[in-house]
Amino acid sequence: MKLVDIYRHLRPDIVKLEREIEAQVQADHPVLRAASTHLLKAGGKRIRPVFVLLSAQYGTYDLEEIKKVAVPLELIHMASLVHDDVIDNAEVRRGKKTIKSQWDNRVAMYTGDYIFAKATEIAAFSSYPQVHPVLSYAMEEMCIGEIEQIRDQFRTEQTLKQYLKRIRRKTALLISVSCELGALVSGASPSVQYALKWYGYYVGMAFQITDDILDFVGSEKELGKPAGSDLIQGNITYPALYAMEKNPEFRKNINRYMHNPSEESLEVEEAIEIIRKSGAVNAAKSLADKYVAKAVRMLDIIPEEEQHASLKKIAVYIGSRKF
Amino acid sequence: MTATYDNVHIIHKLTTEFYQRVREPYVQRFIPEPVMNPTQAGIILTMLDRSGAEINDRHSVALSALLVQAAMDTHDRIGIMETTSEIERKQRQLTVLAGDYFSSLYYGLLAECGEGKFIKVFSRAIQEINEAKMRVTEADSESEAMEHFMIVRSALTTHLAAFLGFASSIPSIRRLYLLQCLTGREESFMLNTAVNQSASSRKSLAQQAYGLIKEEGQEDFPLYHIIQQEADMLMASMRTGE
Repeated sequence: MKLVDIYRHLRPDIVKLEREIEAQVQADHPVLRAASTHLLKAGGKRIRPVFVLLSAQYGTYDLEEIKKVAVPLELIHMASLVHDDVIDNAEVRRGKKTIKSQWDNRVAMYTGDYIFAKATEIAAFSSYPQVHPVLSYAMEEMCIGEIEQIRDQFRTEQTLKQYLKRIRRKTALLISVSCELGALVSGASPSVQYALKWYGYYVGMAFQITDDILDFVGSEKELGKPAGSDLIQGNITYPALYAMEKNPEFRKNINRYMHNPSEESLEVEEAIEIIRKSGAVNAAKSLADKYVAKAVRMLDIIPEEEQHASLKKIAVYIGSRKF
Repeated sequence: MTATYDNVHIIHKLTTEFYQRVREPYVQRFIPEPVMNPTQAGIILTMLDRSGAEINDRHSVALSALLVQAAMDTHDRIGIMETTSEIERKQRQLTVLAGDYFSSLYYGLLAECGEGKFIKVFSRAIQEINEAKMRVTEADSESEAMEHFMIVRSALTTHLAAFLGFASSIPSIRRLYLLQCLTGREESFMLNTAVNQSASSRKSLAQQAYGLIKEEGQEDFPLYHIIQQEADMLMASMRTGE
C-alpha cells in the first residue's frame, strides 16, 4: 500500500491545496518565481497538509480556514529545504537539481526568505490568532535544532538523547504542529487538540528515525540522493551511533574521518555495510515502532471518528515505509 | 550613536533587548553578530508613537522590525561568502541559520505580544525586499540598481510608514538609508553591486540624495527632524573624512 492510498479520500482537497500553494509562490521576478515553483514541481509527500486535513475532520471542516494553516506549513517546510540545500551544499533533491545548483546560493537564500514570508502572510489571515505562537515556536525550534545539528556535525561523542532532541526539533515539531493546528482551526475540543499534537509528535519522531534508516538501506534512486549522505556530511544518526557502540573498530574509523573530513576519506559502501550488519537497522526500526505505538495510543483518548483509521494507518505506514 | 529619538532610554532598552535576543553564543563564535541601526529604531519608534493606530506594544513591534532587518542583512552575506575551507563552510551554514533564526524571533515576538496585524506588514516587506534583491544585480543602469537597492534597505521601514500613515515620508526614508550606506555609516554587501565603487562617484550620489532629502517637506515634524538631523550628520562626517 502506498501512502496516497491511505488518504485517497482527501485527494480533491489536496489538489486544491496544491493549487493554492502554487498560486501563492508566483513572485513578480521571473527567476524568483521559477525558483519558488521549481521545488514544488519536484513533488513531495505533502504529509504536513495531509495531517492538517485529517486533524481538521475532528471539528468543523472549513477548507478556506484550513488553507490558512495547511499552505503555510507546507511553505515553511519547502523554504527550509531550500535553505538546507545551501547549508548542505546539495546538488540534488527529489531527483532534481536544487535551487542553489540550478541557480546559485544567493537565489536560494532569497527564494527561501520569500517563501517563508509568504507563509507567515497567509497564516496572518487565519481567524485563529492562536495559530501564530504555535507556528512561530515551531519555526524557532527548527532553527535551533539545525544550529545544534551543525554544532554536532562531525562529533562522534553523541548520545541517543541528543539525537532524539535534535530530530524532535528538526522534524517532529512541524508534524506535531500540523496536527495541532488542523484541530485548532476546526474548533475541535482541547483534548482533541492535545491528543493530535502528541500524535503528530510521535509520528514525526518515527518519520525521522525511518528517514535516517533509509539513508543506509535505500538506493540512490529511491532516496533521490546518494546513500550514506548523512554520514558523509558528518551528521551522525541513530543507526551510525548504534553501530559505533557495537563495533569499536568502526568507531575508530568514523572518528578518524570525522576529525579530519577534508583530509580523510570515508569508504561509504563499507561503512553502510557495517551499519547494516551491526543490527543498527533493527534497533532503529524498533525505536521507530515504539513511537508509532505511542502515536496510535494518543488516538485512544479521543472519540473515535472515521479519520481515526487513516491516522492509524499513516502512523504504521510511516514506521515501515521503504522510501 | 546618532539616533535623535528623544526618549534615549527607550532606544537603550530596545538596543539592549535586540542584542540579548540575537545572542547565540555558538553561532557568534563563527559569524559576526548583527548590528542594530539606531536611526532606524528612532524612525520606527517615532512613527509608532505618533501614529493614530491602536498599538498595544510599540516596543515589541519596533524590536520585531529590527530583528527582520537583522535577518535580511545576515542573509545578504551569503552572496559574498567564500567556502573553500571547512571553517568557511561552517560560517556559511551558520549564516543561513542565523538569518532564519532572527526571522523566527520576529514572528514569535509579534505572536507573543498580540500585534498580529504587523505580521502582514512585515511579511509583505520581506517579499518586496527579496524581489528587489533579485533585481539589483540585473539592473541595466546604476540609477535603476540604486532604486532597487533603496527598496532592499528601506522596505521594512517604508511598509511600516505606509501602514502607520506616514506615506509622505517614504521618499526621504529611502534616501536616508541610501545615504547611510553611501557614507559607510551602515554596512551593506549589496552596495558594491548596485553602485560604482569609486569614492568620488559615491560622494556625488550622497550629495544628490542629501539635496533631495533637504528639499522634501514632511507632514510630521518629529519624523522630519530625525531624518534631517541624521542626514546632516552623515554629510558632516563625510566632509570631515575627506
